Amino acid sequence: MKKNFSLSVSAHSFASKLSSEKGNPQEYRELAQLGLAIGFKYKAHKDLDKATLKHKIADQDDLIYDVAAVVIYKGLYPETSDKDLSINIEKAASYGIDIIEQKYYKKQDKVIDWKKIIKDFF
Amino acid sequence: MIKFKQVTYKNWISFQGKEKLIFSQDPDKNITIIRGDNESGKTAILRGIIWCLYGSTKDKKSAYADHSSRLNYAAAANNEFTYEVKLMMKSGETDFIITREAKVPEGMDNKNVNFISTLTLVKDGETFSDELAQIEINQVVEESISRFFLFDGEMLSEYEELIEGSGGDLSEAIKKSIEDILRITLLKTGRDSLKQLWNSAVTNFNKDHRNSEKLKDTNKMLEEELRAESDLETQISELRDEKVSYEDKKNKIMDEISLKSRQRDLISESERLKNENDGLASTIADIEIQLQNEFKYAYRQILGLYKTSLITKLKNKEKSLNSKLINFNQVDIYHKLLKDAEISAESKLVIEENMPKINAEDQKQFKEDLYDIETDLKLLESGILTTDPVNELKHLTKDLMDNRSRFALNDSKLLANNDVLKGENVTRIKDLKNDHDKLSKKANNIDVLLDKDNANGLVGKLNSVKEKISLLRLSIPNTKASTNTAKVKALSNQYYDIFSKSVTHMTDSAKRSVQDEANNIYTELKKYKVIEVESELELDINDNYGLKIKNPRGDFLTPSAGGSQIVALSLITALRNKIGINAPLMMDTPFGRLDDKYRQALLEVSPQYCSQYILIVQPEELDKGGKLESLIHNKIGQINNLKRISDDKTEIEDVT
Repeated sequence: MKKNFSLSVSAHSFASKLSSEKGNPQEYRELAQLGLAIGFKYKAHKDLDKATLKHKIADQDDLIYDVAAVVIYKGLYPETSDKDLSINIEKAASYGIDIIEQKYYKKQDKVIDWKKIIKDFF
Repeated sequence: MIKFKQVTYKNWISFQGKEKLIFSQDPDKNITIIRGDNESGKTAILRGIIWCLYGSTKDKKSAYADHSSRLNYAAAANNEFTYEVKLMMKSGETDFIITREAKVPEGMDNKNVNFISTLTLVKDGETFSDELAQIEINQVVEESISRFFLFDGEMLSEYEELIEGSGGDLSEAIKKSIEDILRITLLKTGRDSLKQLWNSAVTNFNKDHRNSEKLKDTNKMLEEELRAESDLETQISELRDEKVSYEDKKNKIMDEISLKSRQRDLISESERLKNENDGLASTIADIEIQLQNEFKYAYRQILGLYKTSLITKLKNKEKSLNSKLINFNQVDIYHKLLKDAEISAESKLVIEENMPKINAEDQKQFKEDLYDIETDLKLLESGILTTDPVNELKHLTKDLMDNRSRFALNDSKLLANNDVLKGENVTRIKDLKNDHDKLSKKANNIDVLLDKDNANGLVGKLNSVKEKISLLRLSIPNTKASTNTAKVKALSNQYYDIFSKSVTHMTDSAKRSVQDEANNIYTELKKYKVIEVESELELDINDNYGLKIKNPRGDFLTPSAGGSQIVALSLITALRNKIGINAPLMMDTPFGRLDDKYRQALLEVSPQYCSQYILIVQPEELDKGGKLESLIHNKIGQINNLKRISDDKTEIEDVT
């Protein structure tokens, strides 16, 4: 399987840490999907430096196809050119993972704070 | 005559610091009463004197078998790791000051193994230490007979076993100690030695060619039976020794297990925690797997939020495009009308003037846009979740955290327990229990072999061999011995006979004497039970020196619980009298199942048979100024109350 979906260094590092903990996503791909779901909310993801996206973790088509991520992204950010679409989704995933680490991860208990996610999103 | 003067306890069980107890030495008022509620330290009083005299506590339950259980808890909390019992007594005209002390050397912690015990005896100003001191004490009262001077209510139950004639291990032990007192053990040893002499005389007789062949044949048979008897007796004796060693080991194991009662509690707590954690670990693993599974769908639910608003937006767009395309469809209809030949030119002109002006390019674009929107909508509407994984994740995470924190709490308790138990003790206790079970099985197997009713057992076989021997001895003609071997055989046979009969006679006579003495005491005690017709019941001694109640017709009666205790007390007093030492009699709560009449009997009769009668009772058993106390009021020389101040502290009050 080709790996053409990249994560930033910091997002990859957190994904790596999480995958070693039981009860958390065991595959990078799964955390990347949650990351993009979270990251879509924050326009600032676009500002992420492209150069930091260094770690290829999954097949992009496989990762974003079944979630209609492209359609959603285009719906949310219609100004995005087709050229930037893929890279922006990668940025959103990495940015979202950073947000999870900072806002929705209980370091002491090593669990994702779903209660807070529900509060912020639903 | 032996008399206790006073005893001082220092940090001993319930006595924090020093507490002194004084005994009455007045021969006319030789009763000392010690009153105390439950848990006030009554048992500690008696155990303290036993420990001071012999260095052990003789407690069946091993309640005070180790140093840490003897050391007062409050003293230990104050880092005073030293306790002591000092007994001042008189034997004849000689003064004894006996001090036994146990302490932990400075700088070491309060562990059982770190205690060092010392014994000091000052006898008329001369000081003896440790072993020498113990020898001097034993010369006054041996530990084996101390049970007849210092005993608690529990001991009555032991003697009741004799009455039952159960022949259990305890009965055997008491029987042995009684025979020791009555000097029968020594005589039995002499008899057994003579029997060995006779055995070898028979063997030598058979080897001697000068002896008659006919006699030799009978003697050979006798020799074989004697050998068989000797083998069986050796086997039986070895098995009995083996059983005693098993019982000893079992007791030691039980002591060790009891000593570690705190550790045992910790072990069972650890086992419970471990089991709980095994369950928790499995629950945690399940939750973790569920979390990992649910996680895969969570992002879809979040994306669903975006989808919902996008779908609404796209549907609006779709609606607007559709309405525009309806307009385009209307233009198509106008175009068809314009081409219709049946419509007049004037009408066509009017249609042409009023039909909307449209751009074919726009129509194409609208159609393409609509197609895109419909495709996107299809995509967005697909994969919308009907489940709620995020909420599920929230609950699962909470469960996970709850279970993990319980697991961690248990784990920390387990670690703390293991620190106390140092790991190996956990397996040690389990090993001990296994060892105890194995020893019980072995002891039971021996019981089966030694059961006299088991014809295939060793005792059964021995009895049958003994019968054969006695028949063979009868069949040997009593002719005049002509050879030396025949003379030695005849002589050893004669001596063995005499000794055997002596043992039987001595035993019977001792039993009769104990029985008579016990009957005298029993009759005295019984008098207090006033009934219309004077009681004709008597005590009858059995093989185990147990006493049974017999009526004049020779029927054995089953005594009541209190009656049984009175019989046991009669036996103990009779045996005390046989020992011939006039010493104090200290009884810890002997009233257990006795009614008022028997209590009165005990209070009036027992003091006559001892130098001092020291009674440890609960207040309600002998009310201050009550009926019972008033009966013996003029005999009471000393009254002490045990006043419980706190869980760890009891004070002794002289309230005479």
